[in-house]
Order: sequence, then structure tokens, then C-alpha cells
Amino acid sequence: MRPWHDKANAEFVTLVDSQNILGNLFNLKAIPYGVMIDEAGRLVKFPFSINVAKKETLAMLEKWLSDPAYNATLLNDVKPANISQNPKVIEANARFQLGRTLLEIGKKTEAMAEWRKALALDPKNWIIHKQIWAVEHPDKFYDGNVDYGWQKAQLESEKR
Amino acid sequence: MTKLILTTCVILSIATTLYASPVSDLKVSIDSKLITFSASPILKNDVWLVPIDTLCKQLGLKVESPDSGKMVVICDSGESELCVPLNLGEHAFNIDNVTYAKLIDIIEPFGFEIYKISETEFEIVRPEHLAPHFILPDLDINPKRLQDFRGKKTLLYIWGSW
Repeated sequence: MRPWHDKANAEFVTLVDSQNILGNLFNLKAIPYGVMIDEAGRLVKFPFSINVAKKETLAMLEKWLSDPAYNATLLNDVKPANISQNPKVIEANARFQLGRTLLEIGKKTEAMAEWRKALALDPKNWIIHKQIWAVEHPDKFYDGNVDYGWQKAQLESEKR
Repeated sequence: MTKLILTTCVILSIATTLYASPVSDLKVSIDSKLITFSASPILKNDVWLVPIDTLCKQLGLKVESPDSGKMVVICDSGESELCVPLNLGEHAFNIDNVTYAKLIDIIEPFGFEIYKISETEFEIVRPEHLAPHFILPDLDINPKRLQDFRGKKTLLYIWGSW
């Protein structure tokens, strides 16, 4: 993460979530996602698909920062956390974590097997899906820019 | 021994009466609604004491007074069955026929959090409205808690390099 943080001259804090803790807390199936939390620690808006390159997104965030009434409006609209307790999703998360641990101790084959089982249980989980790709094809992820064209082609080939 | 304990309790009670005075301008709100207390809150040694009955009613907590008269017990009226005893003279205080306790001692065991807006203005936050707690390392491997960012609007931008 350091190269991206430094390249952006970022003044915000960057945290490293190697255990997919936030993915589990917010039941995320893909990224990027945003979570807005107010001064009192209340969830104001979560999790929502976010693209900070979009003018609308930036305008919404600027309004949230400058207008206390908007924070109150968002609080009224926020729904209680709907974290899935689906047994399949719970098992998928557990297998994903097990795979991470296996990879850390050098058991790549066993890790991949666990991740494939996890993906079978939670097939729309793109965090697991991309983790498998990244370990199978590190050259498409960690040699300079991420090859999104390859990911699209890979997805099409897997559908066949 | 019994005499010694009783003596200590009496001294505490007097101290409370002598050095704590009711302050009417404390504002405590929950769900953005101001709580109207049955008696004025008291500032004692920089800590707010509030009437237990009013606050517990607002939070959906039950207050029980066992026959011993040595404590009040605050219980969750929901499914948790959690009960927290507050010893009179130590964590709860009878002043002018009103039972007071520290704001924090009442709310914290039940998962509520308090946000200090100013010295005299507090917002109680229900546990179900709070962002879930987590600790993650920053780029220098220093652990950061989400609570470290209290007092600021915080955007979690959850992102991956892939």
C-alpha cells in the first residue's frame, strides 16, 4: 500500500487489512466501498459503492462535512446493520481466513483449495475471487499496474 | 468493622452534599432528543452525576432497589438479562431523595457510548447505531482503533490494489 499512499501525497491515514476484517464486519463482496461515520462514532451511510472520481460523490462528501443538517438527514435514513448470518457466507469467510493462514505458512496448494471452496459457497464474493487470481497470476497484479483487461478476459473465459 | 464502613459511607454522603451542587445547564441527548431529568444533574470533581431513574427510563433500562438498601441495580430490559449493581455511597448517591450515579457508570456496561460535544453537552449513542469496533495497523505497523478518530467525521474508503 505504501507506494500508492506516497504517490498520492496522501494526508489521510492508510490502514492495512490483511485479514479482511472490514470485509467480514460489513459483509463486503467487492471493493471499493465507503462507510461514513460521524463525530460520535455513528454509522451514517454504509457500505456504499464509492467512486471518488465522480463529481457527485465528492459533492455529497463535501456537503456531509460542511452541513450538520445533512448528517442528521443521513442518520434518519440509515438502516441497522444487515450483516448476513447466512451459514454459507459464514463458512465461506472462515475458509477464506484459513486459506490466508495456509498461504502465510507456505501451503499455497492447500490455501487455493480452501479459497475455491469459499468461492463455491459465496460465488458473488469478488474479494475471494480476486484473491485466487492474484495468487495464481501474480504477474497480472503485482508487476507495475494491475491488468484489468486480463481480469475481464479471465472472467469471460471462466463463464464459458 | 461494621461501624467503620458505616462511618465511611456517611462521610462520603456529606462530602457529596457539601461539594457538589446542582447544575441545570447540562444537556444530555439521545437520538437527537434532549433528556429532561427529574432533578438537576450534579457536577462533582469534574464528573457528572445524573438522576438514575430518568436516564434509565430513556435508555430502556430497569432500576431495582434491593431490600438491603445498600445498592441500586440497573438491568437490561431486553434479551441480555445483564444487571449491574451500583453500591450506594460508592457508585450511586442519594441526594435530596434522588439517586444519582455517574453518567458513564450507567451507560457503559450496556454498550452505550457517550460523545462529548462540549463541557456541558453530551450525546448518548445507542450500541446498534455505532460503527463496529476494529483495530488495524497503519503503514508503520502502529495499531489504530476506529475510536481514535472520534470527534471527526470519518470516511472509511475500503480499497485494494487489485
